[in-house]
Amino acid sequence: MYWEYSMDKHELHQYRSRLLDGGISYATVKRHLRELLDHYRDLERQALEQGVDPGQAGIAAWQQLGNLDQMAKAMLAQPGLRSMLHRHPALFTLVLPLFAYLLICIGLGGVLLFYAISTGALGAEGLPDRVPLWLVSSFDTLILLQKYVFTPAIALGLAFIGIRHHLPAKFWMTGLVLVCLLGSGTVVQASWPDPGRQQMGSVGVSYMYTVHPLANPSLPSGSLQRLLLNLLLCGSFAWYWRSREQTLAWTGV
Amino acid sequence: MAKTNAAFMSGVPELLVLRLLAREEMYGYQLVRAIRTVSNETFNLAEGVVYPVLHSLESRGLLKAKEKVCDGRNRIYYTVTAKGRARLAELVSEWDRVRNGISNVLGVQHGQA
Repeated sequence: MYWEYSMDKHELHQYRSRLLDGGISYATVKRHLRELLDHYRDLERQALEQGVDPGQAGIAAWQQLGNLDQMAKAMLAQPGLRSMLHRHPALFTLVLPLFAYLLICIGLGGVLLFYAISTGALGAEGLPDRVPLWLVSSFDTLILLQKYVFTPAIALGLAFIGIRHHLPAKFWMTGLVLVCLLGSGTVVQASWPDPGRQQMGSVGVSYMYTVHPLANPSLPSGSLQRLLLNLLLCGSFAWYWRSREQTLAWTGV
Repeated sequence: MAKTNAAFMSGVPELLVLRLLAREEMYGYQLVRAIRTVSNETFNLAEGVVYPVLHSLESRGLLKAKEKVCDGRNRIYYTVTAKGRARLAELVSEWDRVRNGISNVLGVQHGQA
């Protein structure tokens, strides 16, 4: 908790919101509120030592802490306190998440294949006698993660950071939608070499959207149903976090 | 003639904060009290002035903040960095120049009176 009984917690919450809305980083605001609370306690102790009535000491300390409106203006007037997130919101909410998604999915797959070829598990020429089980399992795991985990994880992470740092909603919401659009429509397929049939393997990444039959419960990648599910899941959490942030119930500081 | 720094007078809190923190690390309340005490009540910086200055100086790399436990409470102490000491030296030099200039002017006025 970052307020005490005799503090005007509404005023303090407004002060916190104003600093975050103004672009000061969450970590700086959190630390600043802790030191203000610490300062308030010292002022209260000082008032008690000077013989002020205990019931009034807290109020006197709060008044001596100063006008929070003026303090907010002074803090927001320091350009160096503005976080990188607020200086370049489009970069952090639109470009980096999409780049991160591509890096994770394609990058991980590429690393696996490169490792397999470099260790001789997959021959650069000709067919291997047998595809190692670890490679097949790793790829299956990667595809599962890509299908069910990466998209909501990146989208939710983006929404959480955007809401916590009071970024304008248009940035993180657009980023969330773009990540869901990219992730839900990306289809990764791998077919392994079959020495018996003299067939070379292949790994393919495609992007598409189709309406899969409703009877298909797995909601595969590339389906509009998966997109709607991701948007619903991520959007619900984002809406919940946003409403918590906007009420005094948010005591994450 | 060197160009006078027109914004210098508004840099008094920065000078006071850097000078005191160069002597010893302090937390916010301690610093406000020290400014009042050491200046013989000449300067009484409000809390609303000190914290923006502290955070601004920290963001410029002139101060460093660290959390320490003191009397069972976590306090945030500020200390001057090497860059902060260099900036302090600049400010002190500027202050001496301004003070000497003002003293000369005041001395001339007294002479004429």
